[in-house]
Amino acid sequence: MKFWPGSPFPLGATYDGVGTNFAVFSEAAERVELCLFEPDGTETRIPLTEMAAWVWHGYAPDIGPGQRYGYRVHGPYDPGQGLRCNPSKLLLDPYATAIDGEVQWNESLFNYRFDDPENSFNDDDSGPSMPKAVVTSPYFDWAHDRPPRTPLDDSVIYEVHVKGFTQQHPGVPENLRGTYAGLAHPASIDYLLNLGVTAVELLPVHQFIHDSHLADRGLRNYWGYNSIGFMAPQNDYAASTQPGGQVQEFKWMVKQLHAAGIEVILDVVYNHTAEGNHLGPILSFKGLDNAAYYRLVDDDRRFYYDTTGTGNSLNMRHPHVLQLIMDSLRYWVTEMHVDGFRFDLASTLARQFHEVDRLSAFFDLIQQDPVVSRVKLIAEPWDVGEGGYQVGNFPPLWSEWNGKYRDTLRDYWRGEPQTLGEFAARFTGSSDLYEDDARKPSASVNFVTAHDGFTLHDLVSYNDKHNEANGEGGADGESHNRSWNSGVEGPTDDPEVLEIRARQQRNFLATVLLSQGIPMLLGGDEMGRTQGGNNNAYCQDNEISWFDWEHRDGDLLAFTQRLIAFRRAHPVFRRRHFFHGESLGAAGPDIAWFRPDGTEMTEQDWASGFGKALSVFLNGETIPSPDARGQRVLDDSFLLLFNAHHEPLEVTMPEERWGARWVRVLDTADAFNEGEAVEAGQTTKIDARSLALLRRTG
Amino acid sequence: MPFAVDRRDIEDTVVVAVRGELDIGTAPDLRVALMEAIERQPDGRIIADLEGLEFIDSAGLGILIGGRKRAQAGGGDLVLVSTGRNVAKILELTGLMRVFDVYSSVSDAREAARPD
Repeated sequence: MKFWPGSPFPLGATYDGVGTNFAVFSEAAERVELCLFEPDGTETRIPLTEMAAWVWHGYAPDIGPGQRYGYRVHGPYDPGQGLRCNPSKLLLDPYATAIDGEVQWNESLFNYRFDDPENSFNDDDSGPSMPKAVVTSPYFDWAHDRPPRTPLDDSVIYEVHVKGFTQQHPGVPENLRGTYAGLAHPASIDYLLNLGVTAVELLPVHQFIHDSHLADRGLRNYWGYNSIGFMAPQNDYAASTQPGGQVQEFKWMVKQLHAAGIEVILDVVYNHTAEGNHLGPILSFKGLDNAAYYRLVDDDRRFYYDTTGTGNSLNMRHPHVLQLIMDSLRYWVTEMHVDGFRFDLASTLARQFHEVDRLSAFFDLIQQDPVVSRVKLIAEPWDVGEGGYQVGNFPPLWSEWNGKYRDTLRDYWRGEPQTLGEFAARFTGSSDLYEDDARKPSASVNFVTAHDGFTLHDLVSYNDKHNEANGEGGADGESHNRSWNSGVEGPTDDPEVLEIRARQQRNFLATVLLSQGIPMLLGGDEMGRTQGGNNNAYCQDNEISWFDWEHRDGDLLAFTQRLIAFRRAHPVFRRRHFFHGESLGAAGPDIAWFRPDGTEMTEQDWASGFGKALSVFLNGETIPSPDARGQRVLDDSFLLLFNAHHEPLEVTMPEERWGARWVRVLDTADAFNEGEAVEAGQTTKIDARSLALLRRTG
Repeated sequence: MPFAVDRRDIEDTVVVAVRGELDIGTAPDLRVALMEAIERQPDGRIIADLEGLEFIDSAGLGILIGGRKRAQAGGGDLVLVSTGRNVAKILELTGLMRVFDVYSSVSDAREAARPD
C-alpha cells in the first residue's frame, strides 16, 4: 500500500478530497502503527515513521471516507510509573470524527487477567472487540444555514435526550425514531415550535461507551456521560447505517432545527473518559499516553485522581489535553454548527491542582478563543471534589445551572419553612449570586428538574426515589430530593391527590417561566412524563425514560405553551438587568413586595417564620435596558400572588398608586378565577397552593 | 443528464470529461478517474472537462483541488475546461477561478500547454 510522510497537522484523520492524512499525539510511544480495517475485519498495520513534536503522522493517498482505522502504540509498560503502552490493544483516535461499532466486553480489552488484576499482564489482541474510528468526509451542503443567535435573555431551554424524545413518537416514521433524523423530523420540530422553546440542550452526543457493569445487568448507559470520542457524534443515534453516516445526519439535524429558529446546545463531558480507573479498559488515551491525558495520584502513579466519581479525571494541566478540548469545542461550532455547550461537572475543568480556580487555564482559553467565546456557555457549577460547589463563581461569559434556585423552589412549593427572602432572590434572578461581578440575570439558568433527578411529574408524586430497576437494590441516586408526593406515594386514582399534583406542576412551571433569568425545562415535564419515581434513570434505555407520547398530559402541555408564549410576549419577565427596588421617577420602583394584607413587606416580614404567601409587583414602565434600536421598552405591569399554604387566602390589593384596577390573567388553580377584575384596596381570593398573575388595567 | 465520467487520451494529455451532477454521492467516481490518470502519467497534464456539468458541490470542488495538488506534486498539472454559467459562478465565488487554469475548450487547453 502506498504511504507518504504526510503532515503532523491537523491532528486526526483528515480527508483532503483525494487522500487522508493521519496524525496522533503520543509522547510515551516508541513506535506507532496505523491499523486499517477492511469490512471483513482484515487488519493492515502501517508504521508511522514520521514524528514531529510527539505527533506521529503519515498520508495514505488511496484512503478516503468510510475507511475504518485505529492505532497501536509500542512503548513502556510500567503502571507504577503511569506508563501503560500495550501494542496488543487497538486504540481509538482521540480526534476520530466518527466511530463505528460498539465495545464487545471481554478480557482482551484490559491490560491484566481478571483472576489476577495486580500482577498479571494481558497481551490478547483487543482489535476484534473494539469499535473502530472512521475517516469521514468534511463536505456537507449547509445551504443557507445560519445560527439563530437567540439572545440569552429571550431563550427558553429544553433539555432533551435525542433517543428518548422520538423513540415512541407515533408521528415519526419507525426507521427514524430515536435518531438525529427523528429529532429533525417535521413532527418533532412542529412540536418544539408549538411549545415555544428556543433551544434544545441535548444530553451527551459525543460518542460514549455502554459500560460493562451495566451490560452485565442487562442495562445500557442511556444518558451518555461516558465519552470516548470528543469529535464523534454518538453512532447509535443515527438512522444511517453507513460507517460515518452519523456525521452527515447530525449536520442535517442541526440544519433543520436552525431553519426553524431553534438552537442546538450540547451537553459536553470533558472532565473524564469512559476508560475508568486503574482497573478499567484500554480504549484510547490510556494506551496512547496515560500520564499525559490523565491526572494520576502524585505518590502512586498507578492510580487515577478522581474528582468526578467516575474513576478518572482528564489532566487539564497538559497542553495536548487542553488542545483536544478546545479543538473539540471549535469543531462542534465550526463544522457541526452547534450554538452552545453545557459543561458537565464544570468545576473539575477549572481545577488547577486541587482547588477550583476561576483563573484556571481552561477559563483563560475559553475567554480568548475567537470561536468558543462567542457561543452560549453554561456550567454545571459543581463536582464531588473538595470545594466543588461553585454556584455563582463562574466568570462573566458563563451562565450556570442554578442549583440554589432548584432547591428553593422545591422547598417553597412543598411548604417547607424557609425565609421568603431566599425565594424572592431566586425569583428575581439571584442577584446575590451574580451581581457582585457585574453578571446579569441571564447568568442564572433557572430550573426545578433536570435529567439527573425526578421528572416534574415524579417530583409531585413521590417522597422517595424508586430506583430498583437500576439493579443496585434501589440504593443509587439522590436521597434528599425536596419532593412531596401530594398525599399518596406513586400512582393513585384519588381525584384530590391528582388535582394537587396537577396544580403543583403548574406552580413550578409558572414560577420558572415568570422568573428572571433563563428558564430551562426538562423535556417531557410539559406533558407529565413520569419515570415511575426513578430519579437516576441513567441506565434505563427503555420505556422508563422514553417520552410516552400516547399518555401525554394534554392540559399541562397547553398550559405550558400558554406560559411560554406569555413570557415571550412580555419583556418585564426577561429583563436584561437586575431590579433595584428603588423609585426611578414618576413610574415608581421597578419592583415591590407585599404582604397578603396589601402593605409593603418590612425587614421583619422577610425574616418571619410564616413564609408561605407574598405578592410581587413588577413594573413594566421601568425596564432599564432599551431595545436593539435604543428605544425604551414598555410593558404591562403585573402583580403576582403566591400562596404555598395548604389553605386558600384572602389577599388585599395594594393601594391605588400601585394600580387602580387589576385583571387576573393566569391562575394555576385550574383557571380558578381567570378573567376576574379587582380594584385597589379590595380583596381577592387565591386558592391553596397556587399562583395568580394579575395585569394592571388602570 | 445522468452522471458520467469518461477518460480519453489525446496524444500526451488525458482528458477527463464529467457530465451531470457532481456531488457527495458521485464525487468518488471522479476521484477514481483522476487518480488513474495521474497514476498512468505522473508528470502529465490532465484536462478536466466540466462542460457537461450541471451542478457541483463542495465535495466535487474538494476532489478537483486534491487532484490538482496530487498532479502538481508529481510534476504534472490539472486544468479545467468550463464555460457553463453554473459551474463558472461557483468557481468564481469560491475564488478557485484564480487557482485553476480555466479554458473555454479542450483544444484551447491543449493549445495553451504547447511550448512556444
